[in-house]
Amino acid sequence: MPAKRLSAELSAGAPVFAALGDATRLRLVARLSGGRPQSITQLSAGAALTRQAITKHLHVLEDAGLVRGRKHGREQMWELNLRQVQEARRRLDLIAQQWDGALARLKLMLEEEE
Amino acid sequence: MTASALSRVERSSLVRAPRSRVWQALTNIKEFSKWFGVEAEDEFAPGARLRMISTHESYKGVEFFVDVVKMDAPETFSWRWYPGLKQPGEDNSSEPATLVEFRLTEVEGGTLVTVVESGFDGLSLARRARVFEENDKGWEFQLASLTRYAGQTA
Repeated sequence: MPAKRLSAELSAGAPVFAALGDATRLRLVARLSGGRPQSITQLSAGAALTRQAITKHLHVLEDAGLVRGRKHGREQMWELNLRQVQEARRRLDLIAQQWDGALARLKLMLEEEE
Repeated sequence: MTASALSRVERSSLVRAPRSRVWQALTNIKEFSKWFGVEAEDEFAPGARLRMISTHESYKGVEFFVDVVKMDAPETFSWRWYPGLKQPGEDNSSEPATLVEFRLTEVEGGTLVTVVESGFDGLSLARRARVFEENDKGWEFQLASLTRYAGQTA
């Protein structure tokens, strides 16, 4: 992939990581990762937060493109935007590859001494 | 999916060398410079800020800063950094940084080196991206070296 395009993609990733930088939002993403759309009522079940608080977090995730809300009858159903989540994952994978390279060089340096 | 899978990077490698030896390679600036691919003048010390210049073939001349957080010999070494290119005269030290933590564990046959980078929830990712803008070969090189080392990394 040309570096310029990749760079633009990494820049575009910053709001996504900002949205994920919160334990409640990460939990919401995890709950939606089963693939089935869920209502606020379902998402609030067992949570210590109010429906209003959950709704606010969902809107932050929506702004980052991580979830989508859809009207289903009278209720708003929320689902994960899988493509965006996979993009976030992929960006972290690229950074992980850099660490693989660094650790491999450390290993090589130390094991060549023997 | 675990929550942490989207907020941090964790990698590890088994190095066939005693832990004290690995610790030295990690924290002695001359040795560190060699495998990390940088030039640096100062020594690592808790609270110290080190200026580094990349000697890596893909990022040659890129300047960055590392703020040492913890040096707990011979187990834990951590720093915060602000990866990415600075514009001339720009100070990026007030921007969000990521935390890099090395952990050394004694295992049979050597030392398990684990590196965890966390804090990808600020501007640091966008900033880091600018490095690649300046360098068209960056990722190609990384992928090539990854392939080359794939057989050697545990």
